[in-house]
Amino acid sequence: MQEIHILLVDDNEGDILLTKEALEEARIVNRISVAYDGVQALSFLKKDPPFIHEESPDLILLDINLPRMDGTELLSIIKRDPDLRRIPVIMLTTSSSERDILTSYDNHANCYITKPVDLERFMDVVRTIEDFWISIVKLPKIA
Amino acid sequence: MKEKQTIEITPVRGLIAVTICVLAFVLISFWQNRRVEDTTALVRHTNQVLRVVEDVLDLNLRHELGVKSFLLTGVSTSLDSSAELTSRLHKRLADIKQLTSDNPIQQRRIDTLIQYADANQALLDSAILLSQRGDITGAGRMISKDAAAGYSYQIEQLADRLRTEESRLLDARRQDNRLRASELQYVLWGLIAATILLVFIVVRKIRADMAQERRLKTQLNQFNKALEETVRSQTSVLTASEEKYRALFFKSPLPKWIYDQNTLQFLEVNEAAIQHYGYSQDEFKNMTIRDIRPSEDIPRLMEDVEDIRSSGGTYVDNNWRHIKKNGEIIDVELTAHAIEYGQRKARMVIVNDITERRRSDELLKRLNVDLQKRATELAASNAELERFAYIASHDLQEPLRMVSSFLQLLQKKYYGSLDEKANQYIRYAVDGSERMKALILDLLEYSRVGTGRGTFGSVSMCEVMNGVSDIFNDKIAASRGRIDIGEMPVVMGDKVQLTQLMQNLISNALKYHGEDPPHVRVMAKEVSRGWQFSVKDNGIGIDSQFFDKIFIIFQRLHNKSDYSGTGIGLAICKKIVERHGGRIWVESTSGAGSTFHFTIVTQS
Repeated sequence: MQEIHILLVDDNEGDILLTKEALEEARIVNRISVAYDGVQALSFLKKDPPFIHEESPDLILLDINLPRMDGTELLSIIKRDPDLRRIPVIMLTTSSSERDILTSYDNHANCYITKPVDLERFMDVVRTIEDFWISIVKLPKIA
Repeated sequence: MKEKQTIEITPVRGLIAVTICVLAFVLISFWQNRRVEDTTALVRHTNQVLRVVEDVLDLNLRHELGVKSFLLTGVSTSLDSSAELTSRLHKRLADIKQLTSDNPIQQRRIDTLIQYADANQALLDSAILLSQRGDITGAGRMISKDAAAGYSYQIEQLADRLRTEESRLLDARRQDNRLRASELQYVLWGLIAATILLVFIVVRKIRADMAQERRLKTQLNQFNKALEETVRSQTSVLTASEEKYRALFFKSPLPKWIYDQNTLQFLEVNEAAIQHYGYSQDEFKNMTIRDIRPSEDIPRLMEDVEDIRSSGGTYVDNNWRHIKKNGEIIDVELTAHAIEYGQRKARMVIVNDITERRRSDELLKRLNVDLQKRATELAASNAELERFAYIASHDLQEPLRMVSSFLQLLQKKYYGSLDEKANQYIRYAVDGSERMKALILDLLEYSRVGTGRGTFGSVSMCEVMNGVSDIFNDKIAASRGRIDIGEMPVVMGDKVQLTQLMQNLISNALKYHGEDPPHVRVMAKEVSRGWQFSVKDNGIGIDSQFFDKIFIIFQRLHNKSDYSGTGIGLAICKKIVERHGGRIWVESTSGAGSTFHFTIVTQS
């Protein structure tokens, strides 16, 4: 099976570590790239230096509270960009605020998930994301 | 449709018509008279012609007789008158010709007659001449020639025709005249009839007009009498009302006065003015309205007085200040009416002391400004609080999640390397962060109530209750409890918050149950300003000393191990109820269940 490339956009090292742990346990072979803020993530996606040789991700896990450019702003840029808008974006954030949920869906987020406090449930969630978006959902082939 | 115009017969028009009729009558009569005179002249003319014709015949005959008698007798005296007769005959013939000059037929006849008469004359003259010469036979022949010629006969015939013609003419003229006369007679009769009719109409009209006038006069008299009556009664009413107005003026609780518009002198002041301003009646009457003004207001007063003099009418102004005798300056509202006082132009002034009112107005204004400022500040601080709560709940959860997640990860990854104690520590730490999260979420909710989230609308409490009991279905089934819901009204409110309120109360009612399965009853009844709801349970109850405490945030009555909770639920309830203009309270006996009541106002 083809390797899956996931872009994780999060500024919290702990969360990055936890997500990586969870994905490592998953059955699917995957590769994780990390961007620590919205600007960096956008450069990565646009393959601007120093990301010229990076491949486009198959899935984006996006936090909301980010330095420089926050998740909702990045989301709206991705979803307006004809080259990027087909990449599924999953909002994965601590916030359970109604306002954040609405803003995300208004900007065409593919889904919104609040990070569970409980580790096991968090692991479950990450596994479920991977399972659903990689194995179940049929995605367009991105060149 | 155009109205048909009729000419009304007025006496004047009638008289004019009568005059025209009479004038016509006179003219026609005059004309007829002229005609009669003409006829008479014609008759006279005809008679004259006839007489002349008679004369002609007579003269001719006498001449002939004279000639014939001379011829027979030879007596020359018979011829004595002959010359005279001949000349008279000619004269008569000339006369007749002249008389009938208007009639060509008669003229022709007369010409013929003259010829015959001349011929006859000539014959007779020849006979006379022959006889005088002694030729009797010749003369006799001449006479017989005369007979043969039939001159005399012809003359008589012509004379007859002349007479007949003249008689015919006369008859025709008479006939004509009679006809005209009778026509005119009819016209005259008609005129007389018309005149009589007109006179009759005019007289009737005049009589009708006179009757009308009499009637109007009577009516006028009646009106006048009624008017007099009214005036009389009104005069007495006026006297009474004058008394009343005097009383209104003098006994009025508001200061009133009358001042001369020209001299500005006080003419009358009432009791209230004397009381209010401190001047006596006599002092007032020696003052002008200038004397009760602060000196800096006098120029404006004089300007105003000028304006009022030119305009008149009623004047209201609440921007004046007056000085009392004791020097106190008061704000007044003045109402002034132009009146006649004796022969003088005056104004009656009603004074309303608005010093107090103005003072409280200003106070109110100041308070309003303060209040506005406070409200703005409050709104700002509320917004600040909301932002703070959001950030706090969000940012507080991040480290919390880190703590619990990595503890769990530690436990998982190093399972077997840790002893039971270490595992217990980890459990406590995770439990603590769980409760911390619940607290944070409840706090967030609490901070959101009353910050205007969601809008008010009509909310069916029946729908709300159905939704809430659905949430607790599993819990109720598990504890074998039940919820009874009474008739629920529709209220004005925030549906999300009312749902949360009911959810919290029901949750509490189910949570704090005793030995028996929980039984919750939700009721609603109408009260004076809205609705009162009650949630009654059969739980453990609350000691009366805690009735107020339970609604305060973070106040808990129970050990966490007995009943879990953050101590924010009822505080949220209180805040929601207060936001809906109501209040919340509890009735309970320890061990015998609790009833939570709250009200929702429907009109403010």
